[in-house]
Amino acid sequence: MKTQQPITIESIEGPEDIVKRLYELGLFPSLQIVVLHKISFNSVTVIQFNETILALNEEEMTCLRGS
Amino acid sequence: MSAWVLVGSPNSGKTTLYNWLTGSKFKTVNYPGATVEYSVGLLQNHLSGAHAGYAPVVIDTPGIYSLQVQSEDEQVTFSTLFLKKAEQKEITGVVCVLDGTQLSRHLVLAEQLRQTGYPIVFVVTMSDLLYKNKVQLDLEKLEKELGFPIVLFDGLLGAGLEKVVLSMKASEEFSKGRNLDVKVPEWSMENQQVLMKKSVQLAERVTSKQNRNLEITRITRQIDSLLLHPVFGFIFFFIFMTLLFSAIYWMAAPVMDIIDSAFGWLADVVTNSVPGLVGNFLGAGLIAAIGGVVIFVPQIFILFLGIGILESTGYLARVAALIDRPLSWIGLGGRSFVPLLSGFACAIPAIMATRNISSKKERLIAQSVIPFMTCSARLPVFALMISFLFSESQPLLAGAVMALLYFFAIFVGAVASGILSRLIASTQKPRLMMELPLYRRPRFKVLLTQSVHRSKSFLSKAGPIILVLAIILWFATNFPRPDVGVEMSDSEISQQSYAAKVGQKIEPLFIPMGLDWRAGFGLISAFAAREVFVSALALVFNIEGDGEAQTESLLQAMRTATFADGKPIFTVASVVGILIFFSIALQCISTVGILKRESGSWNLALMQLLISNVAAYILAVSVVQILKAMGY
Repeated sequence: MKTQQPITIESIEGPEDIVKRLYELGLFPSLQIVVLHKISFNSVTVIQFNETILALNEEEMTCLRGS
Repeated sequence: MSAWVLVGSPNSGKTTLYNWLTGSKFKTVNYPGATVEYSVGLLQNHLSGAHAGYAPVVIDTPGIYSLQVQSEDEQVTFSTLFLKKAEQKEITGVVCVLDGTQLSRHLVLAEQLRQTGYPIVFVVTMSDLLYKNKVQLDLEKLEKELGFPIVLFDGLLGAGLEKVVLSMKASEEFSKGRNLDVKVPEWSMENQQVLMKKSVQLAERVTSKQNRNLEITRITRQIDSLLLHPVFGFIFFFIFMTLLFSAIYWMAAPVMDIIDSAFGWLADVVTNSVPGLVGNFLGAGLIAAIGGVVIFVPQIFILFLGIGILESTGYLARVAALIDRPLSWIGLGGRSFVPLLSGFACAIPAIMATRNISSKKERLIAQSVIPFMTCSARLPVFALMISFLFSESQPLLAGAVMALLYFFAIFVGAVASGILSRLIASTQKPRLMMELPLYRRPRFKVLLTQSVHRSKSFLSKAGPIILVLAIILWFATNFPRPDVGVEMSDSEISQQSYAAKVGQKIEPLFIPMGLDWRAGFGLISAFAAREVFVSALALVFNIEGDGEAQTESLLQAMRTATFADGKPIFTVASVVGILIFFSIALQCISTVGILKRESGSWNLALMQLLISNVAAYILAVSVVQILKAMGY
């Protein structure tokens, strides 16, 4: 996922605890997010949606499928 | 007596509201997951008086994202709400705290709480940020939709506080006599998804401004472009940490000199004014012991202030994300960063802060590594030893060595963490999923107050122990007294004292560290409290009020102290040995207790006590012997 480009989440899939927490943090299919930064040796992605900024590690980020 | 629980998402402002309601002074920070234990307080007297003596108990809880809990801190909130774990209080109602700038997300928890059956008062916080960004909320519409009273609250000025209490009282009166049918709402992905969409739509309907998210986050995104830069981000982090750790030494030095001289003068006056043993006890025993610890308060204050600034700006959450990968190399994750940093102030709250880590393996490793961080009790020892190694004309070099000691603690922690991550069977990979809060300007008045409060707390915790030990140590180093008619110098009395007898028995243990019984006696005393080491040295070396600053007198005594064969005791080698021993040894019994409580195992806590101290001893002895062989 490239930085500063809007992405629409199509599905959230992966380990149950991650998926559950991602939903609780406010992410859901059809939501538009923007990747702001790739940090920590490219392993952490910082995303923004609405007024929220989130940092996700590689495993967590791969749960977000979208285009 | 009625009891209201404050519930809300992490970093929504619950503790700020709790402080306003109860008059408490709990630390509030701009970091998600700062509260890990519940707190119970009574409504402040003036609020109670203004509402006809209405005096409910208020319970602050750790933040939760939903009622489906995942970590230990979230379990505390769940237990308080549904298992009556907060001192067995019957819960009257819930004050649900919603961050006004994060409304769409926080309304999901609001909806879940509505389904519990509890009477609710909704409090919308961060009104200052909303106002600043010209965002208006239609609270009337929101109140209608949620079906419970809503109050806008300003955490800076306390505006809206009266209305919060009034709403609590009205809700309580309304539900009086009714049976509360409290239940845990069912949770499913589908429900969550529906709820999320509903909440986003509701937030949009009640918010006046379009693109408010871009407005609110604009400055934060600009700062992040620097502080979260793939390269400069690490450089800034290193600079901030080095500044913090070295400032502890060089910024505090002028104030420390004043305190030192004041205590030196006081000890001098008392010893000269009160004749005999009593004067000796007051001057060389009590005042020297108290002065030996008070002198380090400026350093501890600067440490607390520095950490406070980092916490309140919102930067710490960024650092957690920034160093997630490097921490993963040693079995930890970004979420361990804040507990580890808190360990530089005190290990006890830091170990409790690991509740915020959902992975059991990561939590255990973090708990085991935190005691290696340079807590404030080690500062007096480090400062004294650095003063021995460097003259007053080298404050920057001394500051750099202090920073080096902090980085050494991090290195030792990293090694220990790396070993543990290979020994502990993996249960779950570390999770990050970290909310990065908006940057906020530090409120220096609040930070100064909190730092003063925490410094006072350091003194009040250490004070009684030091007082008792000062009496014991003074007695042990001054008795038995010589027979009537026999003239003996203070040094000769000390050599034949009870402390000397005990010290000489254990001296063989300290000889490999290059130390005699007196320094060894100080090391053993430090197991009561690390900072006592300095006072104990002052006592065993008979530092009296002689007009000089106390630390200078102690340093002078250390420089001239010799073994029986005339060789100096305190050399570069033995002082470095002391620094290494104090960096690694687990001497704090309270830390052992909290390790047991948080890990649920005595074995683990006692093993850490044993391994840390043996490793500290072996490493200190090895380094001392190597340095000695090299001529130091």
